[in-house]
Amino acid sequence: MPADQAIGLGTDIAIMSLLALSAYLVLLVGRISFGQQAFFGLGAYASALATVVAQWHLVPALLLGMGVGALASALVALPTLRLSGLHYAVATLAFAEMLRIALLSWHFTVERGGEMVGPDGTEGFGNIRFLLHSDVSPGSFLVVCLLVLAGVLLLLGLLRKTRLGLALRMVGHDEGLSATQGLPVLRLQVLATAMAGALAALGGGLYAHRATYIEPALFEPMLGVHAVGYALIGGLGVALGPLLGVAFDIGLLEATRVFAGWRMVVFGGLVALFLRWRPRGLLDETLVHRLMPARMR
Amino acid sequence: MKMPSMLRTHPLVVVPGALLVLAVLMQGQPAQGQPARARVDLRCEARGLGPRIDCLVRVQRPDGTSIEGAALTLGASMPSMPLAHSVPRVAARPSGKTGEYAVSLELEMSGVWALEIDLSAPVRERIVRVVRAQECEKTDPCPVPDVRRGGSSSSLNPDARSGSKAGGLHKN
Repeated sequence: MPADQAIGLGTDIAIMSLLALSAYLVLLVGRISFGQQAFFGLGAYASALATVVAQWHLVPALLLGMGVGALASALVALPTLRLSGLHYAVATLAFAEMLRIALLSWHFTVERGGEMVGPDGTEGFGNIRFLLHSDVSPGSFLVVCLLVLAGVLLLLGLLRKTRLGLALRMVGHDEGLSATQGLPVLRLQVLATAMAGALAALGGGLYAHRATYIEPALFEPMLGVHAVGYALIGGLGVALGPLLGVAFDIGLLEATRVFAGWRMVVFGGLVALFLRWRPRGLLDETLVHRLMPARMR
Repeated sequence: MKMPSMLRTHPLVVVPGALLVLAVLMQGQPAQGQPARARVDLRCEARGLGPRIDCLVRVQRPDGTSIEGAALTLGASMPSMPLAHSVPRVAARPSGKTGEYAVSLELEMSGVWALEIDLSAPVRERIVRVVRAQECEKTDPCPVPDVRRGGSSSSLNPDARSGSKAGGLHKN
């Protein structure tokens, strides 16, 4: 594989992993969201607006995108988490579609450097050129994406060992039992979905700057379904699980094209098989417990 | 179980608030103004049932002079499935005309594709053109019209800016 293609593939895997981790965080507290693509899109648009229209640096722009993603995710979660599991999943999908359709009608273009820039409805949002202006090479951007991903994994690993992490897992296993133990179930779930929204938005912000062009069609339900699929295949035992799902789909099926034309069938079939035979994924809690030394649990 | 201390303040405030405050605090000097851009013109036509698209890319400096010896690649992805349906990048070769390069891509299916033109030398540039590539059962090549204006604002072809059409290769 040529070097530039490998760099592009590595960047895609890192960005998609952030979206998969956001779906994982929601699954961790016992809910399933088919709407994580909405926060990916919000992060993409917010951070692109910050660098292109407000001409911010990329770092605060990504933080802004994460804040917007977290806020939107928490606001959606507050009323919808009171619904039962299936209804919550449908509500997240409905929100994502509402947002995508709203973006189709959103026009906010301003003149910068002699060109009109900004979201332009169905025409999309192009000229997101921070990386080109700043002369950030694709290889350097890959390193940035990998460092961001490593940082997120480290934080999730640390969270796992805290009382908060334990509480989140407990809520995921049994909401009723957790409530009887005095845990604030709704608050914990809102917290998890806010963090998930921030992660998805971070992925979206990185994607927008890598692609230089975004449009509402990018944030269709397929993206969110894939994110959930990655987490379900890879496993919910540790944060590395969703990365395994991404590496399998994008790193193996997409890159090698061993099932060219049949990839979606293979991926969907695999998700179905996992749901039947291994509902918490390859790296589920039991396997992680067996593999991990006692001091690291 | 004792409530984790982080939850004493509502999570709706904690996570977004911290991130937004950080973003505003870190927002420093505005970025520099946009430098002059290379001008890139892309025209494609489809052949066969893949379909395969044959494209001509013309690159010019901002002053209008053609760029020779450019390192150009063309890739494609489906906007409806970002990061998951993409075609490996192919390097363009000189077409024989000054500043013009030819490249062919085998698309996986017909539909709307975002064509990504990457110029890595002598200057860095990326242009994204969203087109509709249909399978072509005719002997003659089929047109590959633009479906978006976004990302292609530096096109040399004034028609392309209105998103109305993309010229066939043989017409130039």
